[in-house]
Amino acid sequence: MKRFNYTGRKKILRDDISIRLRGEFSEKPVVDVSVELADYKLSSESTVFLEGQSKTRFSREVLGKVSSSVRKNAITLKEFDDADGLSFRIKVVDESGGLMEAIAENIKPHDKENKPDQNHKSILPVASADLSSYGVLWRVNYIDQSATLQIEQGLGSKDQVVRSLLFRGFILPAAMRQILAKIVSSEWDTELSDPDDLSTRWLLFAKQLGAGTPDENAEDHEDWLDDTVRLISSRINVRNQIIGEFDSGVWK
Amino acid sequence: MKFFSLTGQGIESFIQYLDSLKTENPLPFPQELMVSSEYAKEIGGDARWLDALDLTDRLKTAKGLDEIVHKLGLRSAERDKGFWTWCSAYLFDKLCKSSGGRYKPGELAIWVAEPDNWKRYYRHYLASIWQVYAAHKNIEDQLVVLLKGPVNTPGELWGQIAANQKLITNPSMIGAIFHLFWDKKNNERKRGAGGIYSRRLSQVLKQFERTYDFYAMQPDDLVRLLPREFEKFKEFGI
Repeated sequence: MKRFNYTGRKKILRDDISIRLRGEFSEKPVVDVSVELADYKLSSESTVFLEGQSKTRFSREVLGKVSSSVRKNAITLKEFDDADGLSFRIKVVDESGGLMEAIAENIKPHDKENKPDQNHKSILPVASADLSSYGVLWRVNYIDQSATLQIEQGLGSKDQVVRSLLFRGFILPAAMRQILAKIVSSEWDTELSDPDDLSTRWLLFAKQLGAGTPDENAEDHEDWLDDTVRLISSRINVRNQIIGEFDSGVWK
Repeated sequence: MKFFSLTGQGIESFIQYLDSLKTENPLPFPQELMVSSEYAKEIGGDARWLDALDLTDRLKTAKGLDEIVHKLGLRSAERDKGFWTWCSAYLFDKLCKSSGGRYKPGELAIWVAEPDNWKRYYRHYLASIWQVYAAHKNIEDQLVVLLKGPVNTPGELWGQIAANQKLITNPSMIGAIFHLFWDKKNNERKRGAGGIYSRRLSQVLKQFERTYDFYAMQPDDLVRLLPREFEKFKEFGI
């Protein structure tokens, strides 16, 4: 179903926003922020806010009044211990009535060399997590417009886990299928017009792989899901390697 | 007895116990969670502080928990899964509802704190009310609208508002809910606050948050936004 924006809110493009960490992702975040607003025709009386969110923590910082280029440096985000999983919103707000003039959501910070975190650049970021309450070793966690593949922290270093054959051959395709199945089980924007939308990002990803887009009138989407996961697995390309490894008695 | 923090093994053991209560073969309470062991690490303090909490009153309990957190010197208490899960295990007998002589523990998230997942975290009997109190203690008098009643009966209004992190972290929203749903004269929740109107409020706010920045608004501005069906709760010089 095509979606319409009736709110009058403007969307600030990611290219117009820079949020750069001064330190490492593992350190307490201190960020330099700039937002280019010259092309948005916003009221100069409105205020620009930076909101940070990670897990159950939240921060909000005034960046200043609207101008063609809004900048603020060395903002210490004392609410967070590190920048792992941290994402931001930029809001432009008419404070007299609370009306939101413009917004950008789910913005990930760049590192001090101004490069994005490789993990967050991925369609499916991976995070270590305590999954003892879930009784499983992996799960997909959905927050707003993001999906993260959580791996039980007891399995060891996340970097080691994601390089393993078990992860790439068994977990990753299953997790991706789960996300795609969730997306096609409800309505999605057939115009794929909003790249901030979780379903749009994933459907564009599937399209780029050659899976096309799912037929919104189909009775079910099993064939499309099977085909998409086949293409994903083909890209991951560990199937034969795993069969070879397991042929030599890896199962215990 | 001192305070403890459950280890991963301790949390698993507690979960096994909780799961067993839903079967025909309930396990005995794992007492090893209450002593220093591979299941629990000692923090300090005095667990009698928990016994002194008035669990029939969520606001008083939240305030008491805040004092405990300070006395224990916990720096990142909201992330301390082991601490909160131990506290709920310690108070299990007092907090768990029962029927026909059997415990009815309900969902796991009530007992096992989930600091990485707000959707579950807000359901924890103790961690959730402490965090909301800690965030809004400067408007403690208004928190009563959300934290009224026994700790093990959070109610519909809490479920609707606390489930949304953007709402519950916003002091103006607490002020608006106090304005709408608290009877200042009789010092109690207004009729209808806990039922259909709390669900409708949650739905309406979800629509408005696409257009308005609630953090930039005053409580009365938020109340004025609400549609006619909320008129009977509004208190603007009527």
